[in-house]
Amino acid sequence: MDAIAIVEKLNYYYPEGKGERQVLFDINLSIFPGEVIILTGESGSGKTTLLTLIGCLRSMREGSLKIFGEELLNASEKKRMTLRRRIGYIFQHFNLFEFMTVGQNVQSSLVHEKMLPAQARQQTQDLLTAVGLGDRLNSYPRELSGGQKQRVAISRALVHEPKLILADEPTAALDSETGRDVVNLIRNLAKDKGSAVLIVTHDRRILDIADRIVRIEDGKLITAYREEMTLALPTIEDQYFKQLEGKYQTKDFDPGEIVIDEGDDADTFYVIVEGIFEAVKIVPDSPPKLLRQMHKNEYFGEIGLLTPGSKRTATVRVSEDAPGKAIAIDRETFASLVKDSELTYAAVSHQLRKRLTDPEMGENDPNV
Amino acid sequence: MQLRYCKQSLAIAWWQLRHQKAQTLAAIVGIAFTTVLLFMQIGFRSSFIGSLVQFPKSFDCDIFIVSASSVTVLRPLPFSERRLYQVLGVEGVESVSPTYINSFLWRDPRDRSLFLRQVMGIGFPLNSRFFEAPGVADNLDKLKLNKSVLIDERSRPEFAPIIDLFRQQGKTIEEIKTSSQGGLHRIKVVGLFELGTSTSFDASIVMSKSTFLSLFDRHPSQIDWGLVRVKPGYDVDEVTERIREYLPNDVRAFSKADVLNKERNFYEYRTPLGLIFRFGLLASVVVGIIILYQILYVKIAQSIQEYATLKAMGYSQQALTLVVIGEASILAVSGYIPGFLASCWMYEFLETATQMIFVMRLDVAIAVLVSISFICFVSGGLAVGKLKEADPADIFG
Repeated sequence: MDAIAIVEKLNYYYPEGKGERQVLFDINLSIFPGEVIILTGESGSGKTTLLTLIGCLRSMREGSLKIFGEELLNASEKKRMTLRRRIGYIFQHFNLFEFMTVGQNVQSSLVHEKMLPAQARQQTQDLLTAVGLGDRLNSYPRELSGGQKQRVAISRALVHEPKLILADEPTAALDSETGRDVVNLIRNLAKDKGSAVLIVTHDRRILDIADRIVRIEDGKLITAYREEMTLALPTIEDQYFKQLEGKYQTKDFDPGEIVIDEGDDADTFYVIVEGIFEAVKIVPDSPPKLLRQMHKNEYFGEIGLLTPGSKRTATVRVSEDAPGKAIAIDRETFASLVKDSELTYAAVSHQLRKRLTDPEMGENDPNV
Repeated sequence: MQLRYCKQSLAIAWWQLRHQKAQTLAAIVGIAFTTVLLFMQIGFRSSFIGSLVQFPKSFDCDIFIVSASSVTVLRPLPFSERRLYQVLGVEGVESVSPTYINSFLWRDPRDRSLFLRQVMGIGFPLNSRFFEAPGVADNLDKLKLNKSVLIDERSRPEFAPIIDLFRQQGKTIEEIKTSSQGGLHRIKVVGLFELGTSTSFDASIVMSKSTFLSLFDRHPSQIDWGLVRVKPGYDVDEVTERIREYLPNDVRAFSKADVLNKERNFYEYRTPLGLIFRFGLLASVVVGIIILYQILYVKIAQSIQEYATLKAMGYSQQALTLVVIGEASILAVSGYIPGFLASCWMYEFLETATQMIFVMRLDVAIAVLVSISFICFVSGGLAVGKLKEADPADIFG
């Protein structure tokens, strides 16, 4: 599948005093159709700058940025304007047009489409009905609640079915429940149409809707391990992650590489970041038997760690098709994590119980 | 730009104006006010000049002959009647007639110790049929009686009591003063005619040549205007030229069209009034531009985030410019209409009050509409500069 956006070796600078200050360093990122990516980072880390560059709202300086296959380096203002018509934008403060009705707001995105006014009205009406605002077509934004406004804004960003949707802190002005509804709505509508979504957010509560999380620190793009772990261990609280800082490492694995061998001493806990991992049983004189496939945001290795001194109960290797990446946490850190957090313990135990009661696992894993 | 963008831009202009009703209303009032100012300046100017030339226009002649010492045809100095009859020998001249003009004072019927100023007396031979103001021809017989006069029924309001008295009684005896020493005369108003006033006279009367000569103690050979009619088929300018060559240079001849133009130009460019009118016109336009620019600028500044959002959504700079121009145009038209109606009412009021001519002419109405549109385009064009501050890169974060 062709990427919707490809960022390569991108640098960006802001003027400062007489000189300039670099805010983005060697950014590489590809966005694929149907993917929901969350971009996080501290204020001033450059994430909004990256968002505006991908959104064709700023002219490029260095590197390469292709949107829908069109190179943006040295692109004219007119070309960027034309590309913007194929992108949907969602804003923290909704940015609705106060002087337009809800219907007119949404329909304002359809001016670039060659369609009859009746068709545009119908498409607007249908989408507003889908987001639960079918009866507010003639209301003005000032008559709506924050959540309703954001739904209108989402409708406006999606009504022309853009293949790329950019959202800047879409939940920041909303309470947590409404924020949750809103991002679910973005995700569901985008998935329906196969659109890619890039969300810039600070909001940890919505990280789980992402297929992928990336983080900008001081202008450099990194995989957001901490956030990835939050997805894997949703009950864990922020303060524990702070304790973890520096006590874990990421490991890259080649396709087919064995991560742990059955019978080894259990000393490490893994959270999958990329790729597919397989738990297998090595049976002599026959091909290894696949017990289970594990994907992103799942974890393994916890069973051995929960009981001190135990051995690995199965072999885990990376699937033959693609390389893998995982976060590795040592026994000591894992123990403290589980000990300090009742919730995490509960979560891990729950996962454990689930695996043990899985009939296939139980049968194939008698040692556990 | 494609039609659907134009429609959307104009719709946005309309929605924005409708959204901020108080501000829009203020803008409309501002433009209506500017419209009235323009109509007032133009109305005063054309009424002033129109009233000035109304008097020479009322004469059915082709050429005026005046003394070479006269500054303008409307302020003549007497010259010898002989010059006029010499003209009869010029090829192409059909007929000639003298006209006598003098101003005098009129005793105020309401306060008999006062005299009303700036009354114009017009005298001519009753058989000459050159003065064509309405009502004159019908009443010529009545003027045959000595000291009988017709009074202009469109004189200034202070003469209304005299006209009313005439209407009630069919005639009225009035007292006038024709020179600084003595010169008191009684005259009999026997009829009405219509001429209208100007800045140089508040009322006028017409009378026979003999009445004029006796009232103003004038020697019969001293006339103010010589009027000349040209034979059909002759070019007026050529005949005028021939008269000039024929007569000595103590008199001058002007075609009627030339006289009207000269009068207009004299007041337009040689008196401070013309300059004041032009300055007033320019000031109204500048004030209009400033008012509207201010309103549009504030509107754009208030909506800068919305314009930036529209830009982010792929609206072009032209589309947004059209929004601003659309707003300016809507304001122009909706300010012009009440301004026009108010001006019609103002003209009527001024005409009644001054008895000068205030006509709402189509060409003036269009000229003011064009000026208002000009004001709107200039102020819109200036305000569009503010749109550049709507940077789509600023809408995030």
